[in-house]
Amino acid sequence: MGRSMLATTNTTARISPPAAVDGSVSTRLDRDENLCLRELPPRRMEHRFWKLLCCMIAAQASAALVVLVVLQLPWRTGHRHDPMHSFAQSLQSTLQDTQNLRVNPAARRALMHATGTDAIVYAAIVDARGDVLLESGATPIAHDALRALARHRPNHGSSLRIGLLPSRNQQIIRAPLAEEFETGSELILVAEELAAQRSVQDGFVAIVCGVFLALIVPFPFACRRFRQWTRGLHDVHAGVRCLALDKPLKPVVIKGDSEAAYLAIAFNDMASRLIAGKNELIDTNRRLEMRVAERTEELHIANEKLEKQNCKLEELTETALRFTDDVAHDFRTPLAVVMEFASIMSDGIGGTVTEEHEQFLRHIIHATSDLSRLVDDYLDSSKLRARTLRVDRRPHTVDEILDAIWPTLQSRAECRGITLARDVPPGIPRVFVDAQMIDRAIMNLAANAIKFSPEGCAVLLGASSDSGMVTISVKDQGPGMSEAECEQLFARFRQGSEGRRPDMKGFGLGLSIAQEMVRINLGSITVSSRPRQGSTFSFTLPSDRTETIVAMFMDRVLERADQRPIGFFRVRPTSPEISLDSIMDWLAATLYTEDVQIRGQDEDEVLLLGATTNAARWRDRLYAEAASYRSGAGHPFAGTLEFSDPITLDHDRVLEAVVARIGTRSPS
Amino acid sequence: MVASKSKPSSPDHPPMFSNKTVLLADDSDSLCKVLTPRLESLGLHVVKSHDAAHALFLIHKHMPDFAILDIVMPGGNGIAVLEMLRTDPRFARLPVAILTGMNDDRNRIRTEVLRAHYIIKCPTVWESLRKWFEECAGEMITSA
Repeated sequence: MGRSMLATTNTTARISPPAAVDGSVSTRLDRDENLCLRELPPRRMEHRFWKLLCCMIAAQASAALVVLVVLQLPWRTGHRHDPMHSFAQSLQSTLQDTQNLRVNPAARRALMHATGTDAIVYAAIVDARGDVLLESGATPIAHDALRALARHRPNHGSSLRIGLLPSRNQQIIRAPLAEEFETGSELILVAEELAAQRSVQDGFVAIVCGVFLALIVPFPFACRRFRQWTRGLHDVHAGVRCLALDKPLKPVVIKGDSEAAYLAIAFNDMASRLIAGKNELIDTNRRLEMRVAERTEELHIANEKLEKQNCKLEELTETALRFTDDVAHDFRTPLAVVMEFASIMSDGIGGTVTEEHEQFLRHIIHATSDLSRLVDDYLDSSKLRARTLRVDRRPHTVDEILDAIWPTLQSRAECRGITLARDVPPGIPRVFVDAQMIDRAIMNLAANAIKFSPEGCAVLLGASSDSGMVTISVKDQGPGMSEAECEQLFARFRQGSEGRRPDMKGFGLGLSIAQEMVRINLGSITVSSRPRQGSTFSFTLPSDRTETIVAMFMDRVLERADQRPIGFFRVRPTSPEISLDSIMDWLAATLYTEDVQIRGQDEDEVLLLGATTNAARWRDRLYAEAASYRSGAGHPFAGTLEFSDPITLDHDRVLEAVVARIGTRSPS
Repeated sequence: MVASKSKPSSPDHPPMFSNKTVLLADDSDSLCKVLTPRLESLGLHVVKSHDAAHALFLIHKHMPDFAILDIVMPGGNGIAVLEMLRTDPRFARLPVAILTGMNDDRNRIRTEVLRAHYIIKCPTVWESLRKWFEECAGEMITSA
């Protein structure tokens, strides 16, 4: 439809060009060029205006001339039929023999002219004494008066008086006479004056009529012309409206060479281009939409496929992880068996053992324990991934922590010919950590140090404290690492266990787990090393000071991109038989690894700190967990815990609130 | 020829227990075998089982003084056996150690709630068991 209309519009545009004035218009139209851009002939409007003006002036002048001619004609020719003229002639002939009265032809002419329109002539015969013997009525019935006069010829001594009345009045005015002229000369003067007046009047009337005609005569032409123009503009306007309202558009046809015709052509051309462009746009749009739909469909299908594959992959990964977890679990029993048999033999329970055998057995025991540690590492990393690692932070001394792993480390170091030393100066504050986790971290770092140190070297485990934080370091005299290697080591930590690379063998899971364990205990791990000068791995831990714990907890929370607000509340058992230890055990298994629980000062409540967007929901979850314990294994405190209202606070207020509950130091 | 050294089959000091029985239930025969001499070295009489239901039967039969139960066994779950024991007043105070390869918090809490000891099978399993027996011995002395 759009196409056909376009064709019509184009044809019309070609058919209806204005009649060529100088040929240039048609020449241009023949060529298929941008009609909209065509220029109008220069000063065209001006020429037309001047033409019109000249026409009007000519029409005016001619009309004025016609009027003058028309008005003057009766004056020049009509006196022959004028009753007053007849009257004057009759009067002259009648009064020829009257001695006292001679009518001057000039006076007569003046009289006739004067009496043409509005003056009234009357005539009267008066005697010597001045009495009116006979008088005429007013013209135009002067003939009757004259005849009456003729019948009564004036006597000797009588005279004729001719007077003028100022206006046409049918009544005969007898006395006093308006003006009476004894002699003809006076009459002539007055008549001439009147004539002059009359001609001026006539001229004025002629001019007025002329102007009036001049205005009237060209008016229809002008109107016609204007109507033509306005109709053209109206059509164009209708076309624009159609275009704007998206209605079917008929081409605008204006004949002639007017600007409106040019406008129409330009408009038709523009409209056709517009419609063509629009149709093209619609077509393109539709094509694009179809393509988008196609692509969307393809994408959708691909997405579904990908999702399915992803699901399958996730399932496979899950299965694989569960499988390896199970395998790792299953490793434990045989490892324990190997270990136990080796140590039974080593202990001589099975019979006598030679020195050499005992050494072999020790190697077996160490290898088994290495393997067992690998299994533990693997299972821990699996738990870290699932975030199900239990964290139970309590105050411990550094010596307590080191004592737990010392025998194992010592025997391992001995086996490799390495001296193991520890340097824990007195006055190191207690640390608020999960002892097992930190044991694992130190164990992993120290095991690495022992592994990389050449025989005869020393590995030093040290501790120091600074502004509330305790730093534990593991120093070796191994080959060391360059700065780049150290950075790489930590970059790999950030990538997590996925970033493990074969060339970093030995620093794999153990280091990564150590870092994660330290992180969970609110600390951070660093390494300083130089080639051939050994490495020192050190990590920070919070001391058992409330400020330090809260500050390090806040640091850990603020590291996260989402910067969740902090929830803080107290948990208190409602009955005295529930021990705080059992609550803390339960919380350690229930809370997320980031959350921190601190024992209250009066041993009757636990304070919880957690990074959460909704502290109330957090509390509700704990209530629900407690309830599930009650319904399940009959947990002794289920349902008898009381949670305070959660408080969402910033760092300072958290600290303030915690200090208000338990003071600046946590009790042991 | 390397100089050989002889170790006595029994420790130098007198055994920790006398006339006491321990039930050891684990599906791994080797673990049972390796733990038996260790337990015997403490002066304990060892009753072995590789099956949960059988273990329960043996407990009722022998009335042991200690029980060591694996969690995953054929014929049942060690924790289920423990729960059954705790419902019986005769075994309400029986010292029980749960021996498992899985370090699972839920199981750990259930075990602790049922007043039993949770020991993970690892190369130091005997160390852990020995400590537990020492604690039990201490408790027996104080209660006696």
